[in-house]
Amino acid sequence: MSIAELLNKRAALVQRAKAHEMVPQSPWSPDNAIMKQSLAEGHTLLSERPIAFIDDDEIVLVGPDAELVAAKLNEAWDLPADVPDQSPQARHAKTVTKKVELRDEGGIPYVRMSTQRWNGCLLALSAMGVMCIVTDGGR
Amino acid sequence: MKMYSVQGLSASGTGPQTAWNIIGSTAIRALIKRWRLGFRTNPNSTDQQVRVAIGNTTAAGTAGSAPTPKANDPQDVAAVATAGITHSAEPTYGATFFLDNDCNQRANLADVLDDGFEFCGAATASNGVAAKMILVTAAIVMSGPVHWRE
Repeated sequence: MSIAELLNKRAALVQRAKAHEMVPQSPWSPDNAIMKQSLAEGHTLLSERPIAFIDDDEIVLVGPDAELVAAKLNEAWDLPADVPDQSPQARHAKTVTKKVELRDEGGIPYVRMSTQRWNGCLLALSAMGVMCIVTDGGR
Repeated sequence: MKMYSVQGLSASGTGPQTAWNIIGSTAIRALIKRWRLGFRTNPNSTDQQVRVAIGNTTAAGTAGSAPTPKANDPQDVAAVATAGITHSAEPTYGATFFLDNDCNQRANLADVLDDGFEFCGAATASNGVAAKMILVTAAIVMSGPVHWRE
């Protein structure tokens, strides 16, 4: 899929997530007991989570998700490594091994990286308060 | 080969609801070595049979959360396979399962698979292995760790 097609797919998934959240009996509703607890722990609603598209052995994020993830990972990368008494969250944030390059295709920002690098970034994203959705996308 | 794990967690519901999906690629396949499945409800007032299955997946669905695969050896590099939990759209399962079994919600199912007997997906993009509860009467959450080699 092209980046533009992935952006359209992202929009459809966000709409679908919002539809889930509007159903009171849905596990994704903010009124659901488990989701309430999850939100209290700092997690976000399904529709607010960045969407990572699997493209075989690569991960692609597009549009605002790409901008958010790149900003958070680069913020994590910029954290000093040698601060004493670091919280576990701060140590997890240092699992980012290099800065993330925000690319552009037809005016749409996107991030593409190997699944292995992505797995290394997930702990940092979690430490930075970002929980991601993962889904089929590329092929 | 390196070993990784994630803690599976399904969305709450009466099924089908997937607890974990380990997704390979054309380059790598995850070999499921060890798994355990349990159930939680709130309040825990029901006592029911739960049908669960582990099978191949040919599409990843949409996982509400992408957990970090934890290397059993902290010196190992990050996993290549991706993991999905708490699905909002179910993965596409094959027609047959590695395991299709029933369990009481107050019990656990678990297994350690010998070398050569691991569950694994096809070497195709977005293919993998996943575990789901198929049918229960009262809404429930299925949880449990899965360990794989790659």
